[in-house]
Amino acid sequence: MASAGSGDEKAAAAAMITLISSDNEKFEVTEATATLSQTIRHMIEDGCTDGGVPLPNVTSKILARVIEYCKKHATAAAGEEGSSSSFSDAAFLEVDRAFLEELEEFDDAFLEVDRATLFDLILAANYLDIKGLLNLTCQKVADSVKGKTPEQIREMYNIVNDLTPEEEAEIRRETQWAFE
Amino acid sequence: MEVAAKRSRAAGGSAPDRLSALPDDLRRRVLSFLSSRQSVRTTVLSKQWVDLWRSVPAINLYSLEFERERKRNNALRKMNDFTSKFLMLHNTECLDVFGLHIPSYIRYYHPRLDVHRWIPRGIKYQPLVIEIYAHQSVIPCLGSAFHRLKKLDLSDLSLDHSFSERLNSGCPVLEDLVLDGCSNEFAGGIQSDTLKNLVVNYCRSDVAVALVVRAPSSISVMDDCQFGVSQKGQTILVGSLFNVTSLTLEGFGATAFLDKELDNFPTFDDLRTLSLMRCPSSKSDVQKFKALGRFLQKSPNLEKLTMQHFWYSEGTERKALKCDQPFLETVRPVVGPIEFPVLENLRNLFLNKCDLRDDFRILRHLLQSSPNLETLTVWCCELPEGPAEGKGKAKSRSLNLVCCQCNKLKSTEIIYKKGGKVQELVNFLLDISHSAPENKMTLAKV
Repeated sequence: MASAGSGDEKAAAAAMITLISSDNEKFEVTEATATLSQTIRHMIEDGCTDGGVPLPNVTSKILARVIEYCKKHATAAAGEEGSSSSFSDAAFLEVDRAFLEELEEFDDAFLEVDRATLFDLILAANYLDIKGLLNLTCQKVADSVKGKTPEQIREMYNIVNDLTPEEEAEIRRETQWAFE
Repeated sequence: MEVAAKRSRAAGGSAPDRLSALPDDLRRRVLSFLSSRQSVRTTVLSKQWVDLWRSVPAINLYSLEFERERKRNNALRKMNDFTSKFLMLHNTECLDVFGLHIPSYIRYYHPRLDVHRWIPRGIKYQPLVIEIYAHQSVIPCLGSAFHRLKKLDLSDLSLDHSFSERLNSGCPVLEDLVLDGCSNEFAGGIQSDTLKNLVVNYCRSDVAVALVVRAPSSISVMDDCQFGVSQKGQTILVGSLFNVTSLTLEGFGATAFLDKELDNFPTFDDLRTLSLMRCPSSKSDVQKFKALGRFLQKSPNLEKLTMQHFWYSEGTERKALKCDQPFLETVRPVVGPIEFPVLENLRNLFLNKCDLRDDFRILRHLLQSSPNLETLTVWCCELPEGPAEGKGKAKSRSLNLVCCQCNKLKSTEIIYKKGGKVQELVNFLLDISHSAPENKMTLAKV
């Protein structure tokens, strides 16, 4: 009723948004969860989320994972206001620390996916503009190539070397200072 | 044709190359999490990767990568060579991260690393995050280099007057400042409208670091008093924070609050939330009650107080860690007459992992001086064993409680570890509850 009104915090907290995946599956999420995505946040601000938000670049399988991430991290962000917490406000510090640890564990477990899913998550995080998820997934890829030789990286990610041997030799000569 | 053949061979039934298929800015982001040396090495992966490293918005230089060399001189030459070539060919408008990590022992061996040239080159690109760990290096002044800076993390640097000037006038969005093991040779202090977190750790400083935070904000300061700034320096550091609304102090000694210098600062009228972690930092600090009382006197409008690791100690066993401190063999904590001010506005009190084995002395002091307290949380504290050990003390306890009048207390939570002896604490709080009819007590095990 008064959804367009001013400062209706409680209404906003309970507001639900419908996200629609590329394969037409619908996901109901809270606004707090959805607005971890800057893309969706802007859409909400522009008032164009009625009837659901179509996300033609994201499949239901990936969207489900992204929502799982957002839910967890949205509660983390809300923890400060902690209305649902059974502990008093003052306990927030300790709860917060425990929660951060739990969040790290969650992130680690969240990244236990096959490589195709990992890349799908990167693309979805980029499209939806979820900075935390984007950094998390890109870092995971970076970690996987840390300390590896170019040959090992090529093999790992099926990168086809389209440089001729002459070209490669030339590049290696030019960047010899990085290979010593 | 040759390429196509290769591709089909490589792809032969296996997964496609998703990494190279990422848009350029995402591949750059991936590379920004690698050391710059490794980032350059991706240049030979394939045509798509040849020039990508040049525009990665991060510079991460680690001397560790060059140390595998048997001959130290080689390692020195290689790092110099790599870094100068890299900085020459790397080409980006702005940086997200500039990181330079050279442990001090390397600098002792290799005083001729060209660090003084690298730092200005990195800073020039207006990074969002600067992390520099480089023995006795200096941060230069460079126009608007810090305009976008959000986090500045400096270890083992020499910070002079121009540094503080730069920080005061040229960092409009700085939120995190970490000074670890730096030698601070600047007077006049740091001012910031935007700072949220400050960590001062192991800094050598003749001139105190004073901090003036102009905007209402939260600040968290960590210091290690054992080797940290001088005690007077700690006092000035604390005193200069008088206009923050939320303050977390970690590792400050009792003397930081007792030094007369603190009188030269205004009272902390805006301070609503105070967290003291490991303050006083030494378990054998005999002045801790006095120090706490004094600081609370400076904070008349406090609403929320958190104490973590507030340790009680008879001072009988522990040897003072610092050589210029007296040996605390038989000294008992100085409690004196109650010096705690009445905290009219204190609503929430949280004791976290404190030592209450001295018959709840800290808790008693705080309850006596907080007539409007509403919630009390006691989280995993060390509790007294029971009346058998306390002997005479147990009797006097209930007498002492007469002056506790927290009749607005609504909620008392005790969270204790499995096997913790919680009975004494429950008795203690039940005694108080006589004057607080609405108090609800909850117990939880963790």
